[in-house]
Parts: sequence; structure tokens; C-alpha cells
Amino acid sequence: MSRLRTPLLGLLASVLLSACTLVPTDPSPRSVNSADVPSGLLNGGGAKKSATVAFWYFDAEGRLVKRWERISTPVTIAALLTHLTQRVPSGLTTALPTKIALTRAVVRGDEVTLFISAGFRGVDPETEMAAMRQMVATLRDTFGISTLNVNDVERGRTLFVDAPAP
Amino acid sequence: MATRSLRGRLTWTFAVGAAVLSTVFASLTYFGVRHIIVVSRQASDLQQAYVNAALVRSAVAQDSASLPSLLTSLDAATTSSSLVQLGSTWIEGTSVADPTSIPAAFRVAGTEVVRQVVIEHNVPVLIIAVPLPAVRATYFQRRELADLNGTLNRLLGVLALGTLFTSGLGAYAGRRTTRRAIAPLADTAQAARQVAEGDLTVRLPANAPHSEVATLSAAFNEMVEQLVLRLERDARFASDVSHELRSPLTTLAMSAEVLRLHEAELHPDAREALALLTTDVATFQSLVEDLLDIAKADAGTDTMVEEVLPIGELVTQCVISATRRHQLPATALDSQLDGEHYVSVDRRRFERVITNLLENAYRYGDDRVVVTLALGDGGVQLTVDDNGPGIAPAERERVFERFYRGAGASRRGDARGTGLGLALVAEHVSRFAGRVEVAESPLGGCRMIVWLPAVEGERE
Repeated sequence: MSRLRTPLLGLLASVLLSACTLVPTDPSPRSVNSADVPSGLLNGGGAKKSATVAFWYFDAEGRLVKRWERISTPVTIAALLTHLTQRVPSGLTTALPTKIALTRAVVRGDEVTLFISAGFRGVDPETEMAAMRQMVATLRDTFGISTLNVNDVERGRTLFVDAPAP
Repeated sequence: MATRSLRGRLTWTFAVGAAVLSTVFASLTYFGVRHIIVVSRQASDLQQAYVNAALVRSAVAQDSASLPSLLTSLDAATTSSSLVQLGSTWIEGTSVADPTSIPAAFRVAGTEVVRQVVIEHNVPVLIIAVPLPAVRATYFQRRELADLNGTLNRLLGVLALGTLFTSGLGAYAGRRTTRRAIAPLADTAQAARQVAEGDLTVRLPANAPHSEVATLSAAFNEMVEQLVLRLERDARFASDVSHELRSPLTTLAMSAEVLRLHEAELHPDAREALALLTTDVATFQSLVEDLLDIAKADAGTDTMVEEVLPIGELVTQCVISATRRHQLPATALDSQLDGEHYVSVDRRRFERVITNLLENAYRYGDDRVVVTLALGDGGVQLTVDDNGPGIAPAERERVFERFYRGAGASRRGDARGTGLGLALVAEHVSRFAGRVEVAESPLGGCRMIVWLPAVEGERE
């Protein structure tokens, strides 16, 4: 009878083990055969090379004004911030620090959170708030967000501002 | 492991066999079904991810502002969580999907669709990443598979119950099947026990021809037939020899008796020789009588004349008779009976029992023998005690075998015993539906206990 005991226990153990992981997991990501992917999904062509986006700047009276400009796609928040700091039209100004460094931006519904690792140190609160207003207006028109959260990783604080009505 | 009966082992084998088979089938079923369900679900989720990715690609290419609301609606429609990575920008739907929950291996931009099932908070989650090179984005879809886990859990439970039920059914079937299968063995064992107890008339019924049981029954019956033939032959031989010896022995005994009448005229050496001759002839006669009795009993040719007799009076008469006929010392008889008690015996055989017990007691004892009568165990108990060396416990069963001479026989007395006396006692007592056994006597020697069933009776 002891000869039967070992395979029996083995079978029971296998059943119990399988019960522990009901849905089998994968140790690493598995590639899907490209032939099984709908044609065109993985192609690089077919998309617009650029898009026209509304950017907001300050005029001489300190009012926010909109300017439509073309930027290359994809339109990312990093690209928008770069454009706001480095492509300022003549006669207008920007409140964003030129050395602003964005590590990650997460858009969830109509709220965006920016993780800023550098750039706000030494900026006075008034300029900081102006930068927030400039960013939220631009992001509202591009991504449809209504609230901007800025997580200043460098100083360990979070600022937030609601977008004004369009 | 304790030794189990054949039936127990067969039942256990059936149960284990059923358990192993059902476990194997249950495992195969489980793994097969799980594979089908999981593959099917993953294929379905993959197709959904392709559709969503195409919509996301279109949204990113046309109007990024619509992307968050698109992901929100996708999440609501598919009960999954969608994420889009545009460089360092992560765009989520409303579902709880943190970019940090995407494994690092997925976040490396690739050119292939990849998928992985991971465990998050004890819940399996399928993550699919679809690269969208046209818009330099990657679409991620997270889908919790808790419902799949639940389905598999229920399947496992059903299969486990099925396995238990099948094992129980196997044990039940095994028990029922083996009961019929081993019934002939039980019958054979019972018949063998009856043969061992002396019932040589027992036979096994003939079963279906050419079956193993029929072969066994035929072999058993043949064995009993051969045994009966041999016993009859042996009994006939012993009976014939005893008969042939009886006449010359009687002549010899009578001649010795005549010589004893003229013993005074004999030379002292001749007297001594006569004494030896007389003793041995008496022993020889006794042996022949015993042999004849046993041979008749074996052959079934002896006739029992059973009478219902008062035990007290019967034992007294038998003790006196045996003492006188065999020149034994006076024997103390202690009756503890209250009133008359009756037994059903053959008087001649019962006297032989008393004689043999007394002879045995005096032969091996030291001239102190006590016969006691008492009630016990629903019958009458006759005990014969002596103050001899007794019989070792290991030999107490065997002293009733024919011609058995234990290691203590020579110690316990001289060699005048025939070796048949106690065998004949056991034979006769069993014919009276009684039993005989040996114990240690309070006198220090051997105690022979004869138990006889009490019967209803009345004095004539």
C-alpha cells in the first residue's frame, strides 16, 4: 500500500499547489506574435507630424493671452512646458522657469499631476502662481483638464490650481 | 501498519484506485479547463486591447484633449484600466491605475505587443502593452482576473467533491464486490474449522464449473475425503491390532495369575520376574483397551449409551470402582454440590474418564489425590488434584494428544503410562459435550478440570 501512497500524495499536492495559483502567472512579459496583431496598429506612418496647440502667455499688462502654434506630435505635457519656456512669442512673457524639469505627468480624468524635480527653487510665490495659471490654461485647452497639481519633488510640497473658465 | 483482512485490503485498494483515478481525471479536467478559460480570456482581452489602442492612437493623433475622457469611457465600458504613456506623460482613465503598477519591463518602449499576468494584492492582473509607434505612445490595459479566479475556485471545489464522492463510491463498490468474492473463502474457512473440530461430514457445495471457487471447493472436498479414508484406515488398523492382541494378552494375564497363585513356591529371582511380568501385562492390557476405545471412536463404530445420571453418586461409584479394580490408594472425594445435579453421559466411558484421571494422578503424584465436585459455568465441574510436579503451562494443551510425552513426564513419574489415557479422557468428555483442561493445583501438582453441562433429571 505504501507504493500507492507516494503517487497519491503527489497528485493531491499538485491539486493543492494548483489551487494556490488558480490563474497561472508569467515570470516575465510575453511577446504576442506580430502576425496576430491587427494590421496597421504597429505601423509608424499615417499620423500627423504636427498639431496646432493653444499656448498661454502673459502680455505686458500681466494678462494671460492665447497664441495658436504648431508643434510636432505627439503632444506631450513635457513638450508643452518646453514650448512655454523656450518659444515665447515677441511681446509676451512666460512665468515658467527656464530650467523646469518634468519627471512625470499623470493625467487622470480632468486632473493632472506634474512631478517637477527642479526649476522652482528661488522662484517667488507670485511668479510661481503665475506659472501655475499659465500651465493650467495651456493644459486645459490641450488635454481638457480643470485642475493642476504640481508636486515639487525638490522642495517636497504640492501646489494646485483650478483652471479658469475658457 | 496493522495487518488488515483480505476484504479490508481489497476495499482499501478499490478506494485508493478510485481516488487515484478520479484525482487524475479531476486534475486533467481542471488543468484542461483552466487552460481553455485562461487562454480564451486572454485572447478576448487582447482583442479588446487592440480596439482600445486603435482608438487611443486616433485620439492622440487628432486631439489629445479628448484622450482622458476617451480612457474614462473605455474603462467604464470594459471594466479594465487604461493607461497611455506619451513620453513622460501618463494619461489615465478614472479607474485606479497607477503608472507605478506597470512592471518596469513594460515601461521600456518596445515594438511588440506584450502581456503578463502578475499578482497584485493576491489578485491576478493581466497587463497588456500595445506600442503605438505612429504617435510615439504606448497603450496599457490592466484587467483584474478575480472573476476568473472565482470560476476556477468553484471548478476546483466541484472536482474535489467529485473526487471524494468517487473515492467513497469506490470503497463502497469494493466492499460490496469483495463481500461476494470472498464469501466462498469464508465458507471454506468455516468448513476447515469444522473439520478441525472433528466434523468430517462437512463438505463445500459445488459451484459453477470451471471457476476458481469450484476448483477450491473440489480440492477441499477431495482433501476431506482423503482424510476420512486415512482416518478410517488407521482406526481399522488400530482396531484390528488391538483385537488380535487382546486374546493372547488375556491368556498371558491369566497365566501370570496362575503363576501368582504359586508365587511362594518360586525362586526369589523368578518371583521378581513374575512381578515385573504382571505389571507390564496389566499396562499392556490397559494400552490395548485404550487403543481399542480410541480406534472405535475414530471409526465411529462405538455406540454411546447416554443416560441422565446424578453426578455425585456417579463419581462416587466410579472412584470406588477404579480404586478397587486398579488397586489404587483410597481417594478423598470432596463434593461441594448442593442437592442433586444430573449429567448426560455414557456410564462406561465416564468410568473410563475417572479411572484414567485417577491413574494419571497417582502415577505422577505423590500419593495425595483429591477429587472435588462443584458447580461452575452453568455445569458441573470435576477436578482431580495431585501433589506431583505438575505440568508446565506450555505443555498443558498438548498432554491431551495421543502418545504425547512431555519433557516433564519422566520427571513426574515412571514410564508406565500408555500415552493414551488423557487423549481418551478428552475424547470421551467431548462426546459428553464437555471440556477438559489442565491447571495448577493448590496441592502443588497438577489439576485436571472436567466440565460437563448440567441437564434436567430426576431420581427413578
